[in-house]
Amino acid sequence: MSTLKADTIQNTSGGAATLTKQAALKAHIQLDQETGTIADSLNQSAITDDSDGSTRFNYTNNMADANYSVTASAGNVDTNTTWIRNVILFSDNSGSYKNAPTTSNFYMQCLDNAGNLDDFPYVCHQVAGDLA
Amino acid sequence: MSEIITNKLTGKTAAGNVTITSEGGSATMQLQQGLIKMWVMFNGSSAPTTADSLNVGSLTDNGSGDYVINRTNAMNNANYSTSSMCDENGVVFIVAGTYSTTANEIHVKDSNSQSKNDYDRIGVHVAGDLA
Repeated sequence: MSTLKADTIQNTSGGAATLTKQAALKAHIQLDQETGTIADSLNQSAITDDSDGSTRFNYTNNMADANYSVTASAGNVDTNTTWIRNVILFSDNSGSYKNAPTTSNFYMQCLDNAGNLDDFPYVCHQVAGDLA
Repeated sequence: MSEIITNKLTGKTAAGNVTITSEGGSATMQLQQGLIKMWVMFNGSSAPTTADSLNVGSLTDNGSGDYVINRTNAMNNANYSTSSMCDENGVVFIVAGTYSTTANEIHVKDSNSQSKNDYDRIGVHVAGDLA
């Protein structure tokens, strides 16, 4: 087996090297939305509590454009009677259900089984796309 | 174009830290942090059947809409990120009680009846630190 040891990989022009038919996530997080505590994250600065069940996620390093992909899930303990009915991307507490993501942040809301916005102890997202 | 062909990539200063430059060239990030560490697409009807996966040892069926995904290689801690969705009208729910380094449980519920239900196509992604 050959092993290449390097600290930094760039292309020959000093830009992003190509990973063959693969791409790395550019951000992810596990957030306790109830306390605002970030358990672990990549490329996330402090989150903004928009209201119950509504959070703005801010990037440390901006994305190159707003065309990135976000997937997300949420949950809590099995014994809790409140469970996640839907995670709504790009929606905020202003009443706008179409708050487009920007290069520096995006909004996400958690809807419980009663149809109310609600904080959950496990809120996760993963972002793929181009970094600035 | 220059191309590096190798079987293994290791950080020189720290084995688990290789930095890559962003597409726009203005930022760098740790390559390992951006890689998905486990993913699976499985059929949850009757006995769960894996269509394809990475770092999944087995699936445990705990009943309708209740699955445990067991990893081949454990995560470094339980602070990892999970995103999961399924087909039809199912909602995938992270279950905190079994969110561990070696496995995580998900419940899949019918968004209308709010009861746990099996679905044919369930995808789960995990990102974070491998042990």
